[in-house]
Amino acid sequence: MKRTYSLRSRLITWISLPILIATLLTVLISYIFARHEIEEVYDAQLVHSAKVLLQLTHHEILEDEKFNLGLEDPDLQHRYERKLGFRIWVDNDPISQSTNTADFKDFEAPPGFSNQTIGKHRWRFFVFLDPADGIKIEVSERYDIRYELIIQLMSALILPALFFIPTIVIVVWIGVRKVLHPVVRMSVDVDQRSSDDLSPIAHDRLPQEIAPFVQALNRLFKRLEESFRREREFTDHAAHELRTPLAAMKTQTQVLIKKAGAMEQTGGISECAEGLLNLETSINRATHLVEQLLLLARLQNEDLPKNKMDLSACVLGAIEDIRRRAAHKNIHLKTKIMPGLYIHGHDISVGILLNNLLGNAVKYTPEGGSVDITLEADGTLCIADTGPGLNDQDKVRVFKRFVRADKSGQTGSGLGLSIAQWVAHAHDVQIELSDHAPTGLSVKIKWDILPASNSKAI
Amino acid sequence: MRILLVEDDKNLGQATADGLRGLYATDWVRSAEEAQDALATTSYALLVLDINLPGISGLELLQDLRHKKNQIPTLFLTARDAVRHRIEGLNTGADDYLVKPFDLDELLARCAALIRRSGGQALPVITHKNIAYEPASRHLEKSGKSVRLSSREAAVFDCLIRNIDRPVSKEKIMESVYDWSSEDIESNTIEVHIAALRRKLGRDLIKTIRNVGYIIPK
Repeated sequence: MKRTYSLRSRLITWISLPILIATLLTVLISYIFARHEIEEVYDAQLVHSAKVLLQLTHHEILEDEKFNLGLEDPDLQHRYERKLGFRIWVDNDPISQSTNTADFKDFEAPPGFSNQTIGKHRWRFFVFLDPADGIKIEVSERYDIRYELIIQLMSALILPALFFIPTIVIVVWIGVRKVLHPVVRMSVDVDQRSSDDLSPIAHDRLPQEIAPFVQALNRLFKRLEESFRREREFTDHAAHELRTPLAAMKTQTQVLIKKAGAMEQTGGISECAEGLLNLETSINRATHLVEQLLLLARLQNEDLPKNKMDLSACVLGAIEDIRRRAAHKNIHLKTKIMPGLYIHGHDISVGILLNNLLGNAVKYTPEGGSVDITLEADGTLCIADTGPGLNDQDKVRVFKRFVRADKSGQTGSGLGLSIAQWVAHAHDVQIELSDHAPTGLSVKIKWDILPASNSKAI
Repeated sequence: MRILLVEDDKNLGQATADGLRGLYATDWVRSAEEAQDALATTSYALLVLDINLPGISGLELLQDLRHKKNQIPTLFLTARDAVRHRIEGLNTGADDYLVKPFDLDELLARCAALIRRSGGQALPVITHKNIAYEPASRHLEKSGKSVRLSSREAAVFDCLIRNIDRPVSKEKIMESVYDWSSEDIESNTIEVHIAALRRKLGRDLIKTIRNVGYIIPK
């Protein structure tokens, strides 16, 4: 999942965009058509006006009356009229003109339709020549009239669109949200479950499009759970199959040791007693290795339910466990444990981690040495020994399975630290190894301590 | 003091039986079915039971026993150390458990503790007059001095001291001293052991009740 994108915004875009384009096209086409029709209607009107004026002029000439068209009667005026004008010539003499054509001066438009800008306004002209009587009629009209009409028509179209477009986008947004709800719910469901929750995703009423996906996912979950279960069973089986012969060897050896001991007391043979003790040690080593292997396998297969647990008590318990071994090697344990520190963890596995680390510290510290164990209020646990320590290369290597850094012949499975490491990972903490002056190894873990108020509440 | 061991693994069963025989008469069977027959005919002080058996499992056997109100103290052996397995065993009615591979001494100590508890005797040492007796180890002291007994003698003494002030029949002593593996059972052997005990511990300790058996009076 390198790049993600939002289905919702894509859907909204792809639904809204065509609507917007369609609206814009409608407006544009309406504009073109409206403009064309308006031009034609107004031009026809110009021609019509010219014809009326021609008739009137003919009439006036025949009557030979004083030429007065009476077109300037203020009572009969319309506001558009100021934008209409006419001029009439007979035999090239101007005989009449409307007042608003005064600006035209001696400009004369060519016959037929033409456009001309005079002063601030743009005008449309129509000139009609009657060669028989020598009459020339010029009708003119300001373009503003046409513009106004077009603008009004367009407003009637655009204003509702301005209201509709946001409405459509909002409705689409809500609709898409509703439609995508099952997908969102499912992803939240999958996101919120813990890493080992393999229960199937609930799917009552799933959309057809994602149903196959959910079913495939559920099938995968089922297969995974099945394989986890089988692995657990395998571990159980392996435990049984490995432990029973080991138990037989161990018990048999111990019975023989007892018998040899009894014979020794009664003056019987004793040379085999030492061999039997060696055998018992080897069996114990094999047993320890099997135990550690099974433990690692089990920890990795079983979920570790985490709860609020007393870290301080856990550390103290682990110290008690090694006290006897330490005393046996005359190792001085210096402890400084801050009491009442709680963490969110799995107590059994944390106990195993502490046992392994403390056990290592005691194991590798020579007779008469010391092991410092401190747990500070901020959750820093430090175990420092006076053993041989580790070089930098080994500090990385020791966490691998079956790697044992020491060549001193200490017995061990080589699994202890990888188990500790695994538990640490499961708790999101790091095991840091560093040198302990003047000699020895210092193991540090920084735990996330639960706040004190929280610990009082429970 | 007779123990029934149920363990299907031949080597482990043999070794464990050998280990137990140092202290107890031990019958060893290899299936739950055989165990049921043995339990029906002999009275045992303790049942040491492997959980994973062919056929009827150890848990089913235990369930059946408890169902029949059989209160025999039971220690189960399991190769599975997951907490749920141990809980399952204890909930079925077992009194204790050990995870294989176990330490022989630990097994003996746990057996001794269970037997002691079931006899209502919580103290690990039984004292009578000038004799101190530790059943778990069969260690015996007379006036502070340790007395060595053979395992048969110890078994006879164990049986009598547990039934202190109660007469014990010769047959009952035989049953708790000899298991099926014993080859040296003769009708007068008990008398031989009693004689040895009287020699080592004092003539008045064990009294003979003619036609009934023997008694250690209070």
